[in-house]
Amino acid sequence: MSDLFIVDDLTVTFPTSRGPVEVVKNLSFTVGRDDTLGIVGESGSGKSMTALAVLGLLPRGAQTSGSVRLDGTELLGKSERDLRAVRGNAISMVFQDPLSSLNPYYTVGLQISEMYQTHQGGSRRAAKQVAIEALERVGIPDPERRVDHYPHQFSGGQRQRVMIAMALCCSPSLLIADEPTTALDVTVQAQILELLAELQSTTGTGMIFITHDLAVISSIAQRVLVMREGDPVEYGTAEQVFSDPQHEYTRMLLDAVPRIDDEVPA
Amino acid sequence: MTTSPTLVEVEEAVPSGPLAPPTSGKRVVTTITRDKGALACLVFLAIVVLMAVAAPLITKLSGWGPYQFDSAAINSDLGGVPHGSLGGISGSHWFGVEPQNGRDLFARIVYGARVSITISLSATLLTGILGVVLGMLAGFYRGWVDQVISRLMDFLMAFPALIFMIAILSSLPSGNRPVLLVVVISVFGWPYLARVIRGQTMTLANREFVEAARASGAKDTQVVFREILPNLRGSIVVMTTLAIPGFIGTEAGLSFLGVGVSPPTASWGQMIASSVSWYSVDPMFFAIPGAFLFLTVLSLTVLGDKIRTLIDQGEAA
Ligand SMILES: Nc1ncnc2c1ncn2[C@@H]1O[C@H](COP(=O)(O)OP(=O)(O)OP(=O)(O)O)[C@@H](O)[C@H]1O
Ligand SMILES: [Mg+2]
Repeated sequence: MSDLFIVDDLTVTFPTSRGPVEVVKNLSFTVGRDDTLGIVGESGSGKSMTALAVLGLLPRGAQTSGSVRLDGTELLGKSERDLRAVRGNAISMVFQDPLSSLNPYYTVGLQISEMYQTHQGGSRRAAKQVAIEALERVGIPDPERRVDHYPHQFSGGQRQRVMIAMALCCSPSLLIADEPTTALDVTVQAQILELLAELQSTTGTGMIFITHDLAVISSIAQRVLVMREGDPVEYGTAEQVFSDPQHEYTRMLLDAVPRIDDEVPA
Repeated sequence: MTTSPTLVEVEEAVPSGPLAPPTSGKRVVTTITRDKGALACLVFLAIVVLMAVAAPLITKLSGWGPYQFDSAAINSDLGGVPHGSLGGISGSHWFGVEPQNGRDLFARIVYGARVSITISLSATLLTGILGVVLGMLAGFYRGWVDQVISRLMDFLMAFPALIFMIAILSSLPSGNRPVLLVVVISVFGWPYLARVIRGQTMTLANREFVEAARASGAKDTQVVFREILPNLRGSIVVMTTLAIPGFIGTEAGLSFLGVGVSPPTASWGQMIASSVSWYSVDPMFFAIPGAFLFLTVLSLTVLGDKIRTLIDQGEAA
């Protein structure tokens, strides 16, 4: 089976005053089309660094080694310019905090359509139409009117929907969601998860879902990667990891989670 | 600002948190016009600006130009003291005349406003450009760019600027004094703005929407001009408004010291300087330009403070 996205032996190193520190160590995983990989781990375990490394967005000074391939194309070592064409287009990202991921100075429609035009070109009017459709797809009511609203006129959950609309407007083949529901309250969390799962099944986008909440992973991911201090601790299908965790650390994480049913409450 | 957010009914709105919308220009205007003190300042400034803009027209109406001598208005037997009380205030010389040569004070005040406004606004513009560009460069690129710019700022801020300005202005040919003044004032003025812009750019560059913009494929220039710059607008407006009175004061000060605009061009600072020796016989010669300078600086400071409060509230709301 040809996987969409293959990460092989990825290592991220930061030079510090006390010598180089590896924040991601020899990480390997694959994401298939229409597949969701959940990455779980405590705070500081290197989840976000993995995501940023994939997009070439690591802070200055960081060094990466290994291989990251999307559809057979190597991404590590690509020029900044080539990477810009990938970001938001073939691979897009949704961040943790929808409050601050949108620029307060522009209408959401402008932010979506600008991103679309950057990658796909086309007229301003066509891009605005894309923005309206994107908002409709993520369940924003009355999208024709709402495109012209500013981020502060949306609720937290709606802003995250807007972010998702933006991430999906160029039909990426991979979506990286870095703790997209952490800043939201529980009922809204469930709605966003449902939305992501639904959009994924209709568009066939591969997804990497980063969280420190195993309960969230159980409802959305087919495969799970558990990380601890940069090390991949456990990697396997969701059933394997949940029913028969091989590693002590995974068992500890599982015990810390109150068991909930696999179904997301509607 | 052209696209102020309109208030529409908001479905399940949450407190806006760090994502405060920009304070709209409209709101600033309505709040200021409701405040009596601020409104008075605004009206006074409007008059000064009108004087500056329409100077030739106004002096045509008042009948005397700024360079016209009126020997009939002064008493040459008494060494040139103006005829009449209050420095020769009369129907034809509304603010009286200059002792010794009888030039019309009203006309010179009007033309002096021109000098003050032009120099301070040009200096503000140049300072603004230098401060914003260099501050953003330092804050955005960090590293050696920041090192170079920051050291330069430290150097300029620690420098005894006034002494240097006097030295350089008196040693250079007085050919184009206003331009020189603007350049010299701006060279020493930009670090104060740049320092603030640098700090805010650093904070903004770490905000998630900047990272989000990068993650969606934005170039550095797009990040700087589209994401960061608009969010600095509040600080730029506040810092530059509060800088204008300072520049007016500096121009007056330098002209007072004889290194500002060169005579016969009228300037408030210069008028105050020449009034010093006449202070006891003709106090109005000092009082009138002094009052204009004082009120202009005061009004600008009060308004600047008001705008600052409004924008701070807007950002904290
Ligand atoms: N500039 C840097 N230099 C050195 N180490 C860094 C730097 N930035 C981050 N790190 C380290 O990298 C490690 C991984 O951070 P990362 O942001 O990936 O954690 P995370 O798993 O996403 O955590 P969270 O759940 O809190 O988001 C942390 O231990 C952090 O201290
Ligand atoms: Mg993280």
